[in-house]
Amino acid sequence: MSKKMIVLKSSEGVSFVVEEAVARQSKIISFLVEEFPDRELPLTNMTSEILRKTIEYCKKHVVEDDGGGDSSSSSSGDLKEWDVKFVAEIDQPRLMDLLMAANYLDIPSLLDVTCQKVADTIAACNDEKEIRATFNIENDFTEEEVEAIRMENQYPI
Amino acid sequence: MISNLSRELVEEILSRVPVTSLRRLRSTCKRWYHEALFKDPRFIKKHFDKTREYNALMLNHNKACSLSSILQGANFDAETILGVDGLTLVDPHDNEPVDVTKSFHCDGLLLCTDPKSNRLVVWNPFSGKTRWIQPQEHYNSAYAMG
Repeated sequence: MSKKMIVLKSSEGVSFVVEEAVARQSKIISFLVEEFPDRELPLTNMTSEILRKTIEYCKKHVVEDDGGGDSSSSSSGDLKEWDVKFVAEIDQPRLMDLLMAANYLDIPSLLDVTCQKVADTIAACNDEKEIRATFNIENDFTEEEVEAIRMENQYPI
Repeated sequence: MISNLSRELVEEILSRVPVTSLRRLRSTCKRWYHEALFKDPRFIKKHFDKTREYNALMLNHNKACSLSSILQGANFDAETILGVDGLTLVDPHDNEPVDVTKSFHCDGLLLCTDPKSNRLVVWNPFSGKTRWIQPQEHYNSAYAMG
């Protein structure tokens, strides 16, 4: 029996043919598929690159989700490991795009891993200078303000 | 850029960041210094629920330390732990560190006792703000915060 396929179109007009079960991990797509069956779904605010990444994530998760139930605990551990590797390979700007895509398409587990990755990146910075450099933040404090904040932060760092 | 994200997404991310790192983020620029979320009780509750940072609180050399921060520390050397994650409470009157003997947690705030001055203090370790309370009687009795 052939699996039902749907077509997702990126902002550049590139079409991606995806199994319906894969795409349905997005609650928005799941809704749209029911409302507009047999239609190509245009995702005008998602680039091909980010859409490809999102589909890669959904493919991995749909395979693991209906993996038959055997050795489920090890496969969920493997999946977690896969998720960590998946977000580790993405650079900061694309991670933000992927996070917004997960939010837009309503894919809770992808939103969770991307938010956690950004949080971990902030937590890994040893001082405010490192946070500024990592997230491209401009220091707009005057010297007096920097001193005032230093006084406010009386804890040893 | 995190600052380009919606408030909802910023909240999702920051509710997973430890307090010490949130303080560092707050010191990066004006936008983060004045972030309204940090004063929002709903965010503080959410942050606590997600990080459980003060769920297990330890007193180490009279400094309040969250157990998670100690467990996460790669180096178990006391100086390192206290230097990085131990939070020192400073008495505004004499600028001396307070010897906290007891500490209780509720929704991101700590209630600490200071035997030296027989006072209690409600302390927000994130903002560094404190509210000192002079009890009517000697406080060698039970106190709770809720």
